[in-house]
This record gives sequence, C-alpha cells and structure tokens, in this order.
Amino acid sequence: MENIDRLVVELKQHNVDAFEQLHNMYAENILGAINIIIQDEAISKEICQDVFVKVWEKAQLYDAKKGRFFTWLLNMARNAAIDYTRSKEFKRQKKNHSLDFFVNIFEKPASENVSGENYEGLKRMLQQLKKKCVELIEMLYFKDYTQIMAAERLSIPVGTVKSRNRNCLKKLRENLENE
Amino acid sequence: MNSKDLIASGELELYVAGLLSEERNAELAELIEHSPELRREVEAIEQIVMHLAKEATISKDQDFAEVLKKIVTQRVDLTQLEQSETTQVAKKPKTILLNPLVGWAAAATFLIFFIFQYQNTTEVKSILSANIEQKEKLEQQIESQIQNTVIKEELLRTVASINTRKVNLKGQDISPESSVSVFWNTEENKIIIDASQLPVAPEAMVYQVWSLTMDPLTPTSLGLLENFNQENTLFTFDNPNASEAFGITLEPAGGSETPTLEQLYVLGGIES
Repeated sequence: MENIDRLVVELKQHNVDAFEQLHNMYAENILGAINIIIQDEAISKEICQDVFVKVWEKAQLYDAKKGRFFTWLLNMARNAAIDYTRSKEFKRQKKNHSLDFFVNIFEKPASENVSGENYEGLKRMLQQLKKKCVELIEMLYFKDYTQIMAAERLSIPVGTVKSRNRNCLKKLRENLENE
Repeated sequence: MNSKDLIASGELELYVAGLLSEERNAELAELIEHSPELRREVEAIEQIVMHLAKEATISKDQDFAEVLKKIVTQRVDLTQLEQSETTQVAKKPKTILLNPLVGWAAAATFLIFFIFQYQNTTEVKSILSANIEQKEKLEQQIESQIQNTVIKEELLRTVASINTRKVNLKGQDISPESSVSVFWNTEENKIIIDASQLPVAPEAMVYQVWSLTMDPLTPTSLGLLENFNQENTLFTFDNPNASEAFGITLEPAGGSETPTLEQLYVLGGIES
C-alpha cells in the first residue's frame, strides 16, 4: 500500500507510468462500480475511460488528508455515472431499467443469469448475505446515499446504518477469507 | 477512543465509503497514518469493496491506450479552442496571420499521436510528458484571462519547443492546382502531411513521398499515401533524413525504387 501512496505522489507530478500503474490497479473496480449504476458494459467502459481522463487532469485536487485514493476514485466514478443517468440518452434507452443492481442479482434464481450477463462471482458473494445487507452496501458504496438517506429508505435509525454496515462487510470478509 | 474501539464502531467502513465530514476524514486520516492496525483494517475494508465492484463487470480488458487517446483528443480540442478564441479577439492584422498557422501546427503535432500513433502507448506517453509543462502554463493563463498577446506568445513557444516546421509543397506542371503542407517535427523526426489539396489518385496508382537532398540530388522514399481519399488526407511518416526538400510523385501501386519525375505532383524546399 505504501506503493500506492508513492504512485499517487508521482501521478500528481504527472508521471504517465505511475498513471498507467494506477489505472491497471483500479480500472476494473471502477468499471464495475460504474456498471452497478449504468448496467450497460459498453457505456460503462466509456464513462470509466472518462473518469481516468479526469483523474489525470484533476490529480492535483486529490488530498490524502481528505480520504483514501480509492474513495476519491469511487466518488468520481459514482458522480460520472449518476450524471449520465440524468442524460436524455440514458432515459430513452433505459426506461424500465431497475435501480437496484445488487438486489436484482441477489434475487435471481441460481439458474438464471442477470440481464443476459454472467455475474456469477458477484451473485455468489451477495447470496451469502441477508437482503438488508445487500441493499445497504449498494446504497452506501455504489449509489449516492448518505447515511440519513439510507436510514430513511430502509426505515431504520441512522445509528443502525453504521453498525449494520459494519456487520454486513464483516460477514462478507469472513466469507471471502473462508473461500 | 483507542484503535479497537474505532474499528468496532463501524466508522472506518463509512470512511472508505466517503460518507464522513471533511473534518472527521482529516482526523481519521491522521490516526490511520500513525497506526498500522487501523491502516490494515481500512485496507481490508477497501479490498472487500473493490472485490465487490470488480465482480460487477464482465469486461476484463481495460485499455489504457484508450484513456491516453482521450486525453490527447481533449488537448487537440483545447488547442483549437485557444486558437479560435485568440483569433476572435485579435485586432492587429499581423497577429491574425500568425495565429492560424501556430494553432494549426500545435494541433497537427498532437494529431500525429492521436490519429496515427495512439496504439503506440510509449510514444503517446512521451509526448504527454514532454508537453505537460506548456499545457499547464497555457491553462493557467486562460483561466486567469491574461491578455490575448500573452496567450499568443505562449502558443508560439509551445510550437517552438516542439520544433515543428511547416514546408509548403507547390503544384508542378502536371498538376499546378495541387499543394501540400508538410509539418516536420525535427525533434521527433516525424512529418505530418496534409494532402487535402491533391487530386484523388487514379486506379492502381499511389502517391509516394520523397525526402530530397540536393547536390547531388538524392531522393529517399518516406512512404506511400495509402488509402488516400477525401476523408483521409493526413499522413505521418518517420523522417530521420537531413531533408532539404520534399516531393510527392504518382507511382504504380506498391511504389517505386526511384521517383518518376514526369509524375512529380508537388515539390517544396525547406527554408533555412
């Protein structure tokens, strides 16, 4: 991880090799995060490229004192994807598109693939959790929900958001470690 | 609150999600920096979120060259925008004459890498690194709305620093209406050819580009304008030669060993 800190410093100095390494480390995750919102691999890929263009152009604005580099990336990706969902283009294409990617995958029977795509790994991870965890993780990490908004949507106290989220991620972590 | 309590609180999970206040983020960043235990925990949380995100896509081929291509494209747009803004506010005729050429040359230099070379990531990377300083200066000046003349000087410096020369090739007897612009980047040893003012080549014939040195006259083939048509008029070639002139002849498909001088379409010397 010290390695990432060094690469980020070099990125801020506009070192293209450092940029490439960071891109290779994070591009897939960022693409996935975008696809959770967009649910279209080709469009998500375009947005992901645009996010990395922004990373290059705006690297100076990243401040390690304000959070993790990954968090910064994730935030930019979320914003870019959400902006796209507000475009006319997207609204025309996706009239009946469901807002909950994780919940959809979670609820699909084992025999069915999701929207013709095969997200088996994700399905396996999510189906080891309770639905309330799946909903909460999607809202907090991959959508633009604040704690208060998530609490309202799930009809739970704000304080519960924090503890529930911790327990859900902990469960996910144990499952992954046991695999 | 000690590290264990902080870990148990669930706050680090929210920190990774980016859901805390700026003030709290700064406090936690400070604590994490000095505590290997907290750092490990935060990294573990991050790994889970990254893992989930990674599983939410089936595309595994992330093409870095595409990202570079977009960055270069934006830069071409930026250069062109600057050119048009500069031209709009320019009042002295003398500077109006200068600007389109300067802007064009800068844009064309970026275009080489955009249109032809972007697959070659290493080359794009080197040009991006080499030009980053100029670009930043340029952007700052635009943002602060410094006067027109300063921007022009900056553009001029950009072009000067990348050593691009423009050579005009004039139409010869066989085709007096033709003309071709050659942009020669002597630092990168590359030329860009704008062949938009050449007629379409007849069937089974192809234009061939020559670098010429005089005394004795020695032509060296730089390559062919393959697939030349109205939409495809920009070409790039390596040119490590100490060229004194450039010429373009029409040759049978596949090109010739030596130029067919009766079919010399355009010719132009380099002004020293």
